[in-house]
Amino acid sequence: MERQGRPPIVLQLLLGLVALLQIFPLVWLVNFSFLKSGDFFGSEILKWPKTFEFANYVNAFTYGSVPKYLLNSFIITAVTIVAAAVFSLMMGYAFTRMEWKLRGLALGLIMLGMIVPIHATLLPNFTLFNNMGLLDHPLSLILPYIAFSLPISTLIMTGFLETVPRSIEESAVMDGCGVFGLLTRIIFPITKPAVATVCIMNFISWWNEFIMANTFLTSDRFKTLPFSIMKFAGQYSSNYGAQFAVMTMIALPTLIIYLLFTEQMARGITAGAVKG
Amino acid sequence: MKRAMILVMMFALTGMLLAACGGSNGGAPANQPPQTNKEDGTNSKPEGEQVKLKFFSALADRSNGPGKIEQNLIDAYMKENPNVKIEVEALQDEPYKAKMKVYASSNDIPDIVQSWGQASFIKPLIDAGLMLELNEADFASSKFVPGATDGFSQDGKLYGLPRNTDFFVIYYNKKLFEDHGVKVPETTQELKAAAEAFRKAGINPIASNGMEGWSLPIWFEYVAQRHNGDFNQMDAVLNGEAAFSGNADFLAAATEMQEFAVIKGLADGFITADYGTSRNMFGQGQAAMFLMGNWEAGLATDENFPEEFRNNVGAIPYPASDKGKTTDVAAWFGGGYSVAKNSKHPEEAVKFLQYFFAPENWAKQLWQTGSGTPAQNFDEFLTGSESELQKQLIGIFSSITSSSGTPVQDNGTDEFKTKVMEAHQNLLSQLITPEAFLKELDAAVALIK
Repeated sequence: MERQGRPPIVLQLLLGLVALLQIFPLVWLVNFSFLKSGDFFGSEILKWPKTFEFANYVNAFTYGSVPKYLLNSFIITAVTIVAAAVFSLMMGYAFTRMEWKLRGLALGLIMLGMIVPIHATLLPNFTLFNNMGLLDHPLSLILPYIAFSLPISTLIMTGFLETVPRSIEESAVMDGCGVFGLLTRIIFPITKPAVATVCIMNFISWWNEFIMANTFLTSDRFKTLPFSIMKFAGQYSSNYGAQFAVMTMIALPTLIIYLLFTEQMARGITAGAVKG
Repeated sequence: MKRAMILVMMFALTGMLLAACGGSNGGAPANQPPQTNKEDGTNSKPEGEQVKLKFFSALADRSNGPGKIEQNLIDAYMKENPNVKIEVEALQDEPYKAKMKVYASSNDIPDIVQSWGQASFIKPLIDAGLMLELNEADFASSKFVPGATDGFSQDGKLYGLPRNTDFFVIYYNKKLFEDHGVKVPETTQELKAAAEAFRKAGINPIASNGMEGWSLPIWFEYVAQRHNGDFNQMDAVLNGEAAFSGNADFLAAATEMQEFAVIKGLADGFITADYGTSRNMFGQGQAAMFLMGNWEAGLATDENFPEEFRNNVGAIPYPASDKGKTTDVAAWFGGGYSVAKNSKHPEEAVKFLQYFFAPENWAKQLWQTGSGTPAQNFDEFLTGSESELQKQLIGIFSSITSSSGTPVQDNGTDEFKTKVMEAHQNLLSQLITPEAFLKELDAAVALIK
């Protein structure tokens, strides 16, 4: 009886406060995207605009090329997360279910990728892509994005797969299922929470990525969303209103995806964490 | 049933992958038309050899101020010379410098690049033999003001051309001064008195971008000059001919500067304020003064700020003392352009720069749009319809009798720069004594000897 009642009022207040703190930056972001640049850094924390500066959004869409950059960002991120999910699922399977020499070493090598900082790879990658003629091409972002996604994605996948009982696969094999059949018909549906987790994590990492995009892209054609913010950066001060409008639009997809998949994600991570 | 579901999902997954891959290929042409049209437009009437120049700029905003003028001139040049195609890549300062390092280390510098006539930026590039030597005679008609190209020269050879003349002034809000009966400062004592008066009245006295730190050493140059009467004394220290420590004038200057922090003469939170914050604080009428460069002539016309402010903003030179006059100005030549040595079309790049720096192009447009002060002689382009603020700035500019040259922190490596700026920030946060401040500066100078 008591358990079904409301949680104590203190807890509710506390949680409400935490929620408020979490939501505040977003409210602030949207609020200031409707202000003039001159209103920024004032004494008010939130400010009701005298006139809504929709011009900020107009600027973002026209001069800021948001639609074009949005499409570029979307394509690059989508290819990256799908490829990373497929590879990490297959590797996770190979590392947990298959017996082969050097398995531990190979897994270790992939995990080593986690300690490589992005900045250390910029120059070698630039030289490499330059020689391969890949500079200023979406692949020059997709390839390193996938590479940097793999260690953590594989870790989550192997962790999750360890918890999956092998008996299901054994019965599938008895029914005449091959390795790829196992992967696609048995393993993939079971590991969906982990796949979702991996996809969302990678989406969040790469949707906003700037330093590699800045280094490898030069022409306007392939540029991604963060460049739109830069377009409003003046030599000394900037068009903050328009920058906030762009940032609001950058934040939206992340927000939507997070809201849609937050439950899946929590399940994916915790399931993977059960077994050490 | 389950199998069917799984199959569907599997197809969905591969479908997504394919669609995404296809998208990356298919998406490109979809984005392309506006660009190819442009290309076709220029290619349709080929005159002479087709030339493609890469132009790497640090003016990221192409729709306002200097960035817009730069882009307009590039567009106009391409129209006049259909065989030349200039590809612009524009990034903001810090990302620009980071990418420049990548270009330099892969020996792949774009044909024309923005450069700064300051040792911290251009010296390593010249030393590595990456910059093309320019012929001064090619630009005689551009009428650069004397000394403008010094920062871009090494061993008597010219490696770049400056775009702007920069100098430091005090912007002030006339209305706030009148409302509170504060005298517009003409001497350094009056400046301090004004700061005290505004603090008492509950108004931020001086806005400054202390977080970024680069404006503080320039301010110190002023304070020091007003104590020793000679900008060259600081250069002597940088050249290793003297030291900051033990010099009574420098100590007095450092003490005076720290005084501003003690009496809270700087705006609240100035040490965490960046450029936009300090500028907006001044523009919203929350601060009486703004210590900044002449490039803010646009404050008088920036519609982001209330009209009351725009009508009341003015500029004064840094106040005088018994040793230093108001005509001794912290002035230097800022950003400019250089040509890469490995450029495939060096003549074409130089030709473009000649066009760019023709007096009626850059100099005229920069001045008349109020975006800054050119490094070229621009007397003939004064229209008489300049804003009050612009007139005050030009008054300060034309009165200069001695100038500081390159800001202190830009005379050496990145490490030197950081150390110098940190020393100033610490002094104004009252973390160190003036004596310790001078020692820190000496330690920084030791890095570049």
